[in-house]
Amino acid sequence: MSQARDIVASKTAEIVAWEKRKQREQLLAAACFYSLLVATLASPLYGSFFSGMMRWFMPVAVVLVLAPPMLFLRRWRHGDSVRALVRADRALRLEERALTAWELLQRDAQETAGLLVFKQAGEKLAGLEAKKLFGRTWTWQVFLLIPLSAIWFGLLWFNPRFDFDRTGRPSRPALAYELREFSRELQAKAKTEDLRESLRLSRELERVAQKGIDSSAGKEQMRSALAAVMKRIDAAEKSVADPHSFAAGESQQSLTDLKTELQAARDLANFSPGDKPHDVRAPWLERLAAMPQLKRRFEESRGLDPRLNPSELKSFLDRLERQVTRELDRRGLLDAQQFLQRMVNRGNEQRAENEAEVDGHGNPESSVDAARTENSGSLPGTEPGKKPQGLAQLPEFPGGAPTHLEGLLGAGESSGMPVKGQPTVGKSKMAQEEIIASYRRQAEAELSSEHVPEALKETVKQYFLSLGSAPQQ
Amino acid sequence: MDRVEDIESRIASAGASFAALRAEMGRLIVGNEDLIQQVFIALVCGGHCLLEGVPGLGKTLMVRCLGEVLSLTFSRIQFTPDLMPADITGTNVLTDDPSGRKVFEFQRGPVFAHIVLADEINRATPKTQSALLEAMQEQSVTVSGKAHRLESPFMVLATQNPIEMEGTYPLPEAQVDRFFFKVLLQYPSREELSRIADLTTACAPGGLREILDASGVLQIREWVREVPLADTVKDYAVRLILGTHAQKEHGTGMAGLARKFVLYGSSPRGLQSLILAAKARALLSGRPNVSFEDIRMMVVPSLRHRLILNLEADAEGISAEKILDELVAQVPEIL
Repeated sequence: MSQARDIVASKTAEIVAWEKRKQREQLLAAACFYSLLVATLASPLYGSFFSGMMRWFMPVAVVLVLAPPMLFLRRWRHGDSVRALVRADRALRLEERALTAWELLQRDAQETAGLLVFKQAGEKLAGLEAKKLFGRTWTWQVFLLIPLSAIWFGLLWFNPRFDFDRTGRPSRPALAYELREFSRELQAKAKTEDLRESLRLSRELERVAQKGIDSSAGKEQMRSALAAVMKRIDAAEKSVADPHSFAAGESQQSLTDLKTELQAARDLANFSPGDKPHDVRAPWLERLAAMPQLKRRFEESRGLDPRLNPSELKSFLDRLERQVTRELDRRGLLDAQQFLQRMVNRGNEQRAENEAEVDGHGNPESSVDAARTENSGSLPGTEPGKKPQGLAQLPEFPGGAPTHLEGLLGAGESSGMPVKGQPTVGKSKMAQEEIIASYRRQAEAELSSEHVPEALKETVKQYFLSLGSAPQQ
Repeated sequence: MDRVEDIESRIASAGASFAALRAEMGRLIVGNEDLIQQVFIALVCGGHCLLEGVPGLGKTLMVRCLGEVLSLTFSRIQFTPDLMPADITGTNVLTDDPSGRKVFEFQRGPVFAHIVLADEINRATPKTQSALLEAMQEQSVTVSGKAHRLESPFMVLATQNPIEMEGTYPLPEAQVDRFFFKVLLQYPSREELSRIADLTTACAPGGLREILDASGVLQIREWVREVPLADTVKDYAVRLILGTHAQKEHGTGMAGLARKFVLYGSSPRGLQSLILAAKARALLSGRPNVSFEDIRMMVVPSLRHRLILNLEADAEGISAEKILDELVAQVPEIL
């Protein structure tokens, strides 16, 4: 009979151990499911709190938090063993023999009648394989584990942006796209007009813009890259600037025309070193008749000098071309500098707006408006402290609500002329010629746009030119 | 110490005896197989049964046959309103001894039998009823200060006529609670009626064979008490008993009908009856231990007479059997 008892003891222990193991596996699977669920739902926050490889370990961290209390709360108890043995009794049609035998073993009962219980239970349990008879049953959490893993993995891999800030601030990629567009335009212009510094700068700007688009650079990195580029622009602009050059006071269009005329007049200055020096004045003056800009420059520099040989002409043309190219290059750098400054200013303004809106106080009131609001109760005809009747009540401002409309991403059409306010008393940091040249360029840009009818462009241009020359007369 | 083989033969013997008894009684008793099983279980558990059914269903025949098959003495007491306690227990009678002297001799009453059929017990006065109930409880009668032990095994099968209740003395609930089982006799079916007609209107069949005797019944009684009961199964029986109580502090409050219609639930006697009956059923079924099925099958006969229902149950026609069926369906085997 001890053999029957041993069989019952070992087999019931095997059943209990197997059920215990299954329960633990199901608990761990449930913990994995819920941790993946938490990780998936919290994935929009990853960008704010975690970066890089840390995000991939979020489910592991949640499992380490969830699993211990789950395992503790659902730890194996006496009732679980009873349930396991009842299931075994039902499966083997033992009519509670296994359960009774197990309980008799637990209390070490020596009842005579229990001997038959051990014998009959032992006979049925002897050939039992708990793992085969009671296979694993998986809960719904286990079945959802794989699709949930795929969703979580996809969210992390493709890293969609979840922008909770609805104030319409242009996101970093939009600014980067704008910068790249500008740099390519500058590149094309620099290649056409052979502007070396502008070309070098435009390529650098394109690199910075591309980094921003690829999201490999953070906000601070982009900001510092742009600041570095602006410093280089400053240095480059100073290196190409020639304060004594005639070109500093010329308009952009006249410089462009002059460069075109210079390229057209090159053939006249081409000669072989072995040629005899000869007078080219006559054919040169004949050619100049169709080149007003070049003609004016020539007359200013050469005056009524009757002789002009090719070498002199060549050196004149070279010098003039250098001056024009350097000035165009410098102006290209200035344009780039202004563009970058506008980008920085725009970012700072919108950041300030966002902060004001997040506080829920809307646009900050000016001191005048604040005073007017404070004293609204003291208007004539009103009682102090009471709101005046007839004034429209402002709607309730729901704090924190977005007040910008979302539009299309990217820079749209814009035209404008930045106007500086009253200067503060003190030393100016920019040369007067630069200011004037800048204004002239912007005026010409407006003239060349669609806002001024084609037939009136020349009239408008002459009018503004006459304003500049009026005091001299 | 008994060996396993002895226990096996014991269980086999008990099962075989019961099967033979049922078969033998089936020669004269048509249908009512549950009735025979429950009466025999009550006998081997040392309990008494309350039989309820309309007249003419064969209650007396069944009890007589049971006595014959088990070689037990049988007596029938017809309760009437003028029945006296001495008519049941017996009395001292003045007689002449062999020497011619006058002496009082105790004349045994009809209660001195193994199986006593107390017919229409609700027709007798409470005083007479209590005489029988005392005998049931103590298994002895006291006459003129002298205790006389009753036969062993001793079982009373009391009947109540559910039709003629006018002028009767229904047994108080405290007395009803002393009965082990309450068994309902069902009206026979068409086929059963046909067979009854064949048996009773044709030549009488021969006498019944003796299957067991008094010592055999007592032996089975001892074996019943030795059947192992798992704590989990015992806990199931306990939760069923608690489920009959309407008040949450006593009961589990699980069964909705019990909460609504039960005034007082089962006493601890109900639990004793339930567990003993389950053990007996397991033994007679050839199993060495009590199962959940044994408990479930014995709930209704053990507890149907122990629930005191309120007037609302009476008005809505809710019976104790219905409440117990719902209880069995709702109480889980293991928590």
